[in-house]
Amino acid sequence: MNKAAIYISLFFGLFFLLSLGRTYNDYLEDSKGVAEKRSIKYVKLQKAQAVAWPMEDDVFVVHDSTAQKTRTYLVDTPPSSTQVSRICVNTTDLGAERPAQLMADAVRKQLVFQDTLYLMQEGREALLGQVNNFRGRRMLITNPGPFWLQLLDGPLIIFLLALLSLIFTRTLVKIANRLLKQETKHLFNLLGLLALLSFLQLGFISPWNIEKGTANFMWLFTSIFPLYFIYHWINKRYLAMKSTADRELGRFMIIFWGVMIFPILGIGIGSLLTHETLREAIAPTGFFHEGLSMFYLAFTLAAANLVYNLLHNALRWRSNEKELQQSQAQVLASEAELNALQASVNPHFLYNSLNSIASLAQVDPESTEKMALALSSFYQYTTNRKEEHLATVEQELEMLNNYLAIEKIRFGDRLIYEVDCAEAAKKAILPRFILQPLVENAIKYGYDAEKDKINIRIVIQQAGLQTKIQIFDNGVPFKENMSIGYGLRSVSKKLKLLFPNRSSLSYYNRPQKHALITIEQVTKA
Amino acid sequence: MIKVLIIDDEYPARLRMKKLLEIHSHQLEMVGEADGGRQAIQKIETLRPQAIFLDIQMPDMSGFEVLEQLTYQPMVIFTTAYSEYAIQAFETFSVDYLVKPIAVTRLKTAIDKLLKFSAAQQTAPDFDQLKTLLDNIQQKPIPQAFALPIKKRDRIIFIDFEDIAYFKAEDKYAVAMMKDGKQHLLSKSLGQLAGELPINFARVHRSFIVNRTFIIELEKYFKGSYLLKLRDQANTEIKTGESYSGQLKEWMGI
Repeated sequence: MNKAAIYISLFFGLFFLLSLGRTYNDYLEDSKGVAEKRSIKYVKLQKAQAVAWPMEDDVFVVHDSTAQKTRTYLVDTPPSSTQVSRICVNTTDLGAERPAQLMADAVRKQLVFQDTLYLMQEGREALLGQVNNFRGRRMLITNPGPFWLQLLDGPLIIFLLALLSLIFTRTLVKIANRLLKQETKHLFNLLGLLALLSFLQLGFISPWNIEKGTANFMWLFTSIFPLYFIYHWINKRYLAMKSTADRELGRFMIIFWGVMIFPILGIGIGSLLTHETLREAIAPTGFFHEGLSMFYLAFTLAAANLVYNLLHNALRWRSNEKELQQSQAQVLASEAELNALQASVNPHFLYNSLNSIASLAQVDPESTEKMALALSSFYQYTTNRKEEHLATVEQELEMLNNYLAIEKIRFGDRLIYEVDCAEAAKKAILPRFILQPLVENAIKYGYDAEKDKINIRIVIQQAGLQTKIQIFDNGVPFKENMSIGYGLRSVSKKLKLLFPNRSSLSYYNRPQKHALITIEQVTKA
Repeated sequence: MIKVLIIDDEYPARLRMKKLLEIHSHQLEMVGEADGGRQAIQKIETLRPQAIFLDIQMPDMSGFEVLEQLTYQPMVIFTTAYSEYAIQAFETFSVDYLVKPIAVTRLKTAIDKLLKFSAAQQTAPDFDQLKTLLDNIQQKPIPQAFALPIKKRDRIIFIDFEDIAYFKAEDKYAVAMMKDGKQHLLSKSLGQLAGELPINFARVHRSFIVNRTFIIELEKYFKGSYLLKLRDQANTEIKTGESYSGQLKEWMGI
């Protein structure tokens, strides 16, 4: 079972459990039966204004004008036109046997109370009593609905919002990059993050509470922005090389733990502005509830990022696959072209070699045999009976060694060569017969007048998916107006046909004169 | 007895030459061999052979360069692996030329000519003229240019002409605009480039040279100029210059 599958199941399991937990928690809060079991918060109201804003029939909002706070209170029995709505209130002045009552009508009429809470009964305004100690039970506004809706509601919206903003930001970055011809990734990402989190802050965290929302804005700057840069730094440094599963897990963890922990710092600073106590600022509704909310937010944001990355990867693979298909189609279409490029050995090589063989035949039969056999192997490779256009580095080097052995007999001590191939590169794939033309060119222009030698060195390395082939010589430097003959042209053509956009051929004079071929190997799906 | 010197950078070739000359040992005396241009000059000056078998392609210098630097001019039989040098003019300037691998009979013919030359005491041929002639010939097989060399910061790369949609002028230099949208800055101006491009490229404007194979549409514009629509990724449209309209019509065949 592969890693990715494990991670995915963990992810969805955790997500489900969280949702369950959170929803259940909210559900419990809503249900009236629990009310008594929960700790009741007592509020002393100096001046109260009952606002005509019943959310439900048994909920009303009281604005405490002194403390400048709006609170919601649950009435424990639903009112009817004749019945009285009661607050779970204990008023010592009115006596325990007559609990204070607040009529629903009074609430709707928006009467103002000063120092006392006027309680109405049976449609008549009459002072029933003064309330000095007003006790109520505060709750958060929730929208109870069917369980499954509650399960999805908040988290789903946050998830979708985050996902959409990621897509939107990425598109914006692409357009801006093209227009401004500059990398705008970080700028727009941060703006997008800012927008998203502000929206979440106002919409979900401190619902439509501008003041608190604004104060807690601090947490964005002090926590999320640094977190963003930390994310990118870790991403680049540690995660770039890993498999998709590991990488996405790493990213998920960074966001998750970052969003859990960093905002505490931010809110802490924010609390200095609102003069709330730290405890109030961080966990206004209790540590458990608040903690759960943050957990939820962290999880949802990390999840949105994860899903986005997976989608993006999938799309990229799709287009890579298309590219691969296209290049495969190109190969098929270019079969004729590739076949035509096949036997592109300089014919003079054959003349020279045969001449040498003829010359040595009577005098040095050993060299003659060696040369003839090398030549035969060499030409076997070049005639390509099986019409294969690709070869391994190992096969190319075998051919090259034949070629160089032949040239060595001709040039004697004047030619010095060295082949250095990394073990990891031996199985790499490259177009057939691209090394010989370059080596031939190196020999042709590689004469070092000072030392009276032709010094050639071939170095092949493998770094990750990239195969790097360098052919050094000590001859005159490549000139800017250098012309390339048929051989070199065939090399560049083959690279273009068989490894489009994954290969390069360039000529360097510094630090040492060499021709460089790079090929990005194709991974197995 | 004519004294001869063998000059060839390849050991097997010298070996063969020596062996073949053994057959003519009654006519020729081999006084030495040289494995390169420098050694050749040195030995010719000191040994003063009457004739030399001179290889043309040598790493340190060509056979012609050797002749240029000699104060003493022997009779020359060129040996070469390349038949493109085998032209009639050779015979005017040298005794003969031999194409490697050298056949026994062909060598005999050359040596007969040599003996005749020697007897006739002809004046030494003018090697400068020969050199100029051969320089011109060597220019001949200019491979049809397929790619443009571009010098980047630290390397030279080649871009295929078939991928270049057009060139545009930017300040004093030209920029090659590729079909996929990439750009390459060149170290030449448009004017300098114009002479080096294949025939499917033509200058249509003070600041543009266009690749004809990329033109999909030609729209008549004002005052004798045209709007060329290209099939590159950016779907570039180029307005031609009025003064170029004549050349343009001819080039496009309209």
